[in-house]
Amino acid sequence: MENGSVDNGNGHGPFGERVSGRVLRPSHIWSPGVIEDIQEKAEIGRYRIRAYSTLRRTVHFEDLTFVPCTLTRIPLEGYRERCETRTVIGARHGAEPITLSTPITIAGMSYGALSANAKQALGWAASRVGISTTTGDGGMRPGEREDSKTLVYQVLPSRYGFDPHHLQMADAAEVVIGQGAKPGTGGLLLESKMSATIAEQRTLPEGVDQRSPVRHPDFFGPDDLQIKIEELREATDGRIPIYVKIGACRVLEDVKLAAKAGADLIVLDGLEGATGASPEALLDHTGIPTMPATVLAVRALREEGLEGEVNLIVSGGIRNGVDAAKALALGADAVSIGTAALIALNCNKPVHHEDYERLGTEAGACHHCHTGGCPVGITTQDPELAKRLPPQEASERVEHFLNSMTMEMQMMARACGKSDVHDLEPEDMRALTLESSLVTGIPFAGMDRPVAL
Amino acid sequence: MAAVAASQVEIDCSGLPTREINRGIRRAAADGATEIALLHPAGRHNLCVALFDPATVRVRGDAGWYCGGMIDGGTVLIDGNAGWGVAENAMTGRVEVGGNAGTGAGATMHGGELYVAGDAGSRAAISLKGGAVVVGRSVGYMSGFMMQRGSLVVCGDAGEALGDSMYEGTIYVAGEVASLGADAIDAELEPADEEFLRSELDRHELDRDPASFRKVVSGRKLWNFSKKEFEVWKTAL
Repeated sequence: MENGSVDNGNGHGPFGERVSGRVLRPSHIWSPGVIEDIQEKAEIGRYRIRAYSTLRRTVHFEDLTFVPCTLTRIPLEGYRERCETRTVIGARHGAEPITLSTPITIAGMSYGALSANAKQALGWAASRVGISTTTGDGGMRPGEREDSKTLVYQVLPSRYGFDPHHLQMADAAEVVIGQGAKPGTGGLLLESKMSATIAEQRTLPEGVDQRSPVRHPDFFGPDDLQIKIEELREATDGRIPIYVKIGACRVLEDVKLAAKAGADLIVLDGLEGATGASPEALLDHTGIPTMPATVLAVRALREEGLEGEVNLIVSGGIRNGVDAAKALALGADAVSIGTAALIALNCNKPVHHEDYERLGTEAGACHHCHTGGCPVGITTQDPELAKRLPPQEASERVEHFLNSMTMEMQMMARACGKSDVHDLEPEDMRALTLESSLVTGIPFAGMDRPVAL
Repeated sequence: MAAVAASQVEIDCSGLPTREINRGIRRAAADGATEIALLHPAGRHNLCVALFDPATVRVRGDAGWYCGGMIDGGTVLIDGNAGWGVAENAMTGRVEVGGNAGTGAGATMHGGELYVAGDAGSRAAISLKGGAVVVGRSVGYMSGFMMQRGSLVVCGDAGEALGDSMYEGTIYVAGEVASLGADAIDAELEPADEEFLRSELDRHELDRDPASFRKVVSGRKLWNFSKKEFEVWKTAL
């Protein structure tokens, strides 16, 4: 505006004054963002690809609040009384169960999407804390078994690098049906990260834009999945638990089907789940958020009489111990984190500003993992960039963050009078929005009953 | 479990849980048995899975899904038909099917050999990462889908979308090809191809002229995103 007034959309400023000169009336439908999007696609000739998770606001755990003890409940002493976090999962079919010191796991992230240093740092941190890490597309990185005391081996549609010897070395297997960031589609690893090492591990030509298949090569539906799970049990002599990971879509039905197929544990990944590269349209327009997905999954298991027998881990948008505590209160046995762990490593740290600028972004708003140019050495295969992440230091940051999550979970549980974080329950919370009350059945703050249709 | 000779063992599958059959195979192989026969398999799933010992297991009848899956070093000979995913993700070793094989025969094999004397269903050699899949008769649609390395030899016909989106590897077909998949193209048969084919055909006593095979490889237009190749990409994305 020439005179500094702001046009309110009809040629007048906020106080009704005429705005001289240009009249800017941006459209909601054809907003500057939409215009930029169309013109970018007109240039590149395909859908846009980026990393991270959705940028949109979702119904989230932050829409719930705890209602700790007052006169109606007796709290535990925060610094004295014991609050258990130990979590035992995967025992449904008699396999050796997984014991976590705290109900957190590190989600599957591939060596390829992440640098070797990042994978190593996550493994070391998880091992010191006493939780599990997970492999990813491309299989088990050399040294990954040694880095992670408790390691979950993913069985992905691509089977890149899948080795039955590695399966037998693992503590659990996770059959990946889909992920929250892009359910219904396969993985993506762009040319810039397809180094000779990564390509060889995946039996692919160096420098290709890898598009992983979405369907498994040897089974399709839930009845097939049951036979596949049995095959994995045969290959491991029934020693390890079998997880099934699904992206949150038709959760009520999918969870029942996965449980019927024989899963010992279901990993449910919500819309806020992140990825190293994805068509942007999928990140923003597929799946349902983690919080309502958790509610549906718990209901599904309850309806089948399998609550507590089939374990539930939820992931996607878990940022701290409070989000985790709310997920537990809704009925999850544990949470899985990916992005939060990477941020603890140093993701989006305001250092190396020039490299953020080179990617066209800045610290705090970087979601450019797909480029391989990660300024802090986490999501890159460039050896020079990877040096910026010394694994020992990085693992200490993740360890500290994981411990902070545990303390936050315990703090909420003790405040609610619970001596075990798994004893948190929906009654310990109130909803802060109508939507969250509707989807959880938890009373809207200020009302004594849930908002219901 | 009955010992026929010092190095030969028979396991009667009747009434045994699959876990006990597979444990019996591993125990026998560890004890030095070189030939293990499975009697009355009755189409059971998941036989001979993750067999890492250099023993030969003969399945005297039909096998269900994933027979010989994830093997590394063993040999599995199936007298009858095999269900889905026979020899899936084999690392090394050999699996032979006397009859027909279901969908996904040799899926994601990293090495070794799968021979199907009869027909194989859809998606044979899908995501093949190494080794060879040889089919005595025909294969179904989308065979060789997203193949990465290795060879698929089809002595009969191939269904639609053969070699769709393959990265690398080679497909040879003696009969008709219903259609090629996205980015699968014909290539000249070279002397090394004919030599490989002759070796495979002789080994399985298949009466085919190596020179009569059609060779299919990746056109490599899908290796990288390109706005220039929209006609290819629109079917592949």
